[in-house]
Amino acid sequence: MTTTMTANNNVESFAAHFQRLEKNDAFARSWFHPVRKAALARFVESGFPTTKDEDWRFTNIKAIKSVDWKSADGVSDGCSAKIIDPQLLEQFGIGTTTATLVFVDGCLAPALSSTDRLPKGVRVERLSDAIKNENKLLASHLGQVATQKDNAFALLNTALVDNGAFIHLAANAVAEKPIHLVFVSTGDQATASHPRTMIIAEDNSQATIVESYIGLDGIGLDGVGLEPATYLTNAVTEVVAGAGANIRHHKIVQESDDAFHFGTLGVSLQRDSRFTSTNICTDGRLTRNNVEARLLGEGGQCTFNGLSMLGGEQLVDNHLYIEHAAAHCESWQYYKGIYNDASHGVFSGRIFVRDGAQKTDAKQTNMTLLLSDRAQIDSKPQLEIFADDVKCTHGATIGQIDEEAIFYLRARGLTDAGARSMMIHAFASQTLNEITVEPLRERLEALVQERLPKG
Amino acid sequence: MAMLEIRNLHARVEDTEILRGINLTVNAGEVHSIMGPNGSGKSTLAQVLAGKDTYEVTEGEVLYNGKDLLDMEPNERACEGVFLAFQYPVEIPGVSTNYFLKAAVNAKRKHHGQEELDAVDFLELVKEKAALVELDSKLLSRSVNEGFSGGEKKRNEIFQMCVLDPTLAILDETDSGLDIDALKTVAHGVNCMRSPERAMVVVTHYQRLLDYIVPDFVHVLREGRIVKSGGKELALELEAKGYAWVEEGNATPVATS
Repeated sequence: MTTTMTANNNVESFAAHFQRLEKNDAFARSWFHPVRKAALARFVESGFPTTKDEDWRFTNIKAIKSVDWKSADGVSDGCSAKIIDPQLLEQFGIGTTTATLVFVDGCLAPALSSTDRLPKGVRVERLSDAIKNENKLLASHLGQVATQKDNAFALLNTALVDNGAFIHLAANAVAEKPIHLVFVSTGDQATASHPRTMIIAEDNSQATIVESYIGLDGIGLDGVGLEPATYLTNAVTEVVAGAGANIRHHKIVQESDDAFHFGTLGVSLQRDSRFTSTNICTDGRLTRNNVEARLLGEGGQCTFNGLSMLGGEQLVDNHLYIEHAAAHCESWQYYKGIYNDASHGVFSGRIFVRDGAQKTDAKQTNMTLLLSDRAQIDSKPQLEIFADDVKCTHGATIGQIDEEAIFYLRARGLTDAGARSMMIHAFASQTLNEITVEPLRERLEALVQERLPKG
Repeated sequence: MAMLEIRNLHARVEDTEILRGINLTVNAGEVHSIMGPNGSGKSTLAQVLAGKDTYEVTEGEVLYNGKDLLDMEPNERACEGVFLAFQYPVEIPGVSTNYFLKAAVNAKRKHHGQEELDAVDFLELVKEKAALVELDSKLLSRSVNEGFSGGEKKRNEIFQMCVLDPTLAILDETDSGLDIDALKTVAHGVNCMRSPERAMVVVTHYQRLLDYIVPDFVHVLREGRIVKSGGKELALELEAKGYAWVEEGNATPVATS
């Protein structure tokens, strides 16, 4: 049901969808409407990026421009989620949670969600409800964190936000168990969804938040595989970490084989706050993860871990921008990729140290294991430093499995496949061990195991 | 039947022939030392026996307990009881010695139709053998050889040999780079392994090691051939006269038996 259109028309069809939504009074009268409208105007003006844009040099998104995307109609209140078998979702569970919100094709599925165990000071609700209720706190932060200009996908998301969550942690509030946001796509052909998550963690609050982006279309019950569908997930998550707040974040991208995933994670860190994120990408035709983090107060720390394990002709592009705007902050980026077949990885990490951000300690590492002659990685570490007393390091290693090590292991009795598995597993484990939600770590561990050479 | 029977072994790397007709018979219970100047082919012989595929065997055969050794995969050889202590032990990031060694022990047990060793029994075995070569057991939970000193790496090799309990142990220049204390410790580990059922091939450049691991036979390798064989006194003679002595033509290739 996809039709070929020119790039322009594709942008216009998003604009046309917006105009249809505007006919709804609630939409047009909302305080958020002007914000949407401004974002749309900028999106229409810039259009989708091309490989001529430096930030998109290695990632060609031509394929998404030729699809006439139907936007999931989650904005209106009448949206009701497609019924899916809870058993299908069970495998993506992460154990006991403080709260779980499950969105199916853009609509909240109340039967699969739970928010009845929230501790004092912790609020988890549907973003559309928070917008409708004119939440003041939300209004002052929404769209103020992921602000990198020319991020066409974030602009489009702001214009068409159709689902997502608002998480508020009051000062000193602690959520002991993780909060799980699940975005499920069942594979309606050519559907675009624009989930948005706003996390406001006030001073000294603490929580672990897991975002799972899952394509169910390729997974049939009883293990019978279904045809994967082409769909588009365009997600934005914004995090405001107040002074001394401590947020752990895990993002899992397991989209369908034919799906496109564009994700932007914006984080602002106040004094002495901590943000630790682990991004795991194991599936999806094309995945782009944008990260922009700003250390705005002294003593802030942020860590971004990533592991991509792809095959076929899949592509993942991890694009990070870390800004040190205050002194005595630390940031780390550890991104690892394992690419098989003709898969393609892109890593671009930029550390920007502002004048005055003395004693900055920033480290960036990108390590890649290419398992096939056809696999490819483009790695681009960058430092821009305007302070004179800082420690910034960056490095990239790209290689195949060390054949000397394979021989060493085989000379001790391991089979060739066993030796290779052990080395790939060791490479992946260092990142998987950063996942603090044990059932999630176990599941991903099993997923990695499943993909190791057998024999 | 000899445990190891090497007949007219030729091997090369790309266009360079390195082994040019090695003949060697090793029986159970014997310790053979292979000596020779740099580039004579000592390490190549050790690696060919372990199954390294960088070398191409162009002629000859190797029988191990009557089986065609060259026809076996490196892991099959290991499971059949061949062990190579590496001259340059490889670093393996993210894989601890304990973890991979348990997999190795169990691969061998599986090969022989035995049940896998459980964690408790394995740790007991490891503890005992680590003490034997004075290897700090903390190193065993760290990545294999990563950040190990030269001495620790070599001790780790001998430790692995003790745990894997091979039938034929090939030690490739295990002594090089060791100070005298480490050398004694390594030799102690090797001597503990000597038994009537086991054979050892000790490749070394220096006679020094043979003060501590006393061989039954010494062979001198030059330009890919064994040019002189004798008892342990040959090593002393070599030490006194230097490798130039064999190179000056005082040795002739040993006839094929």
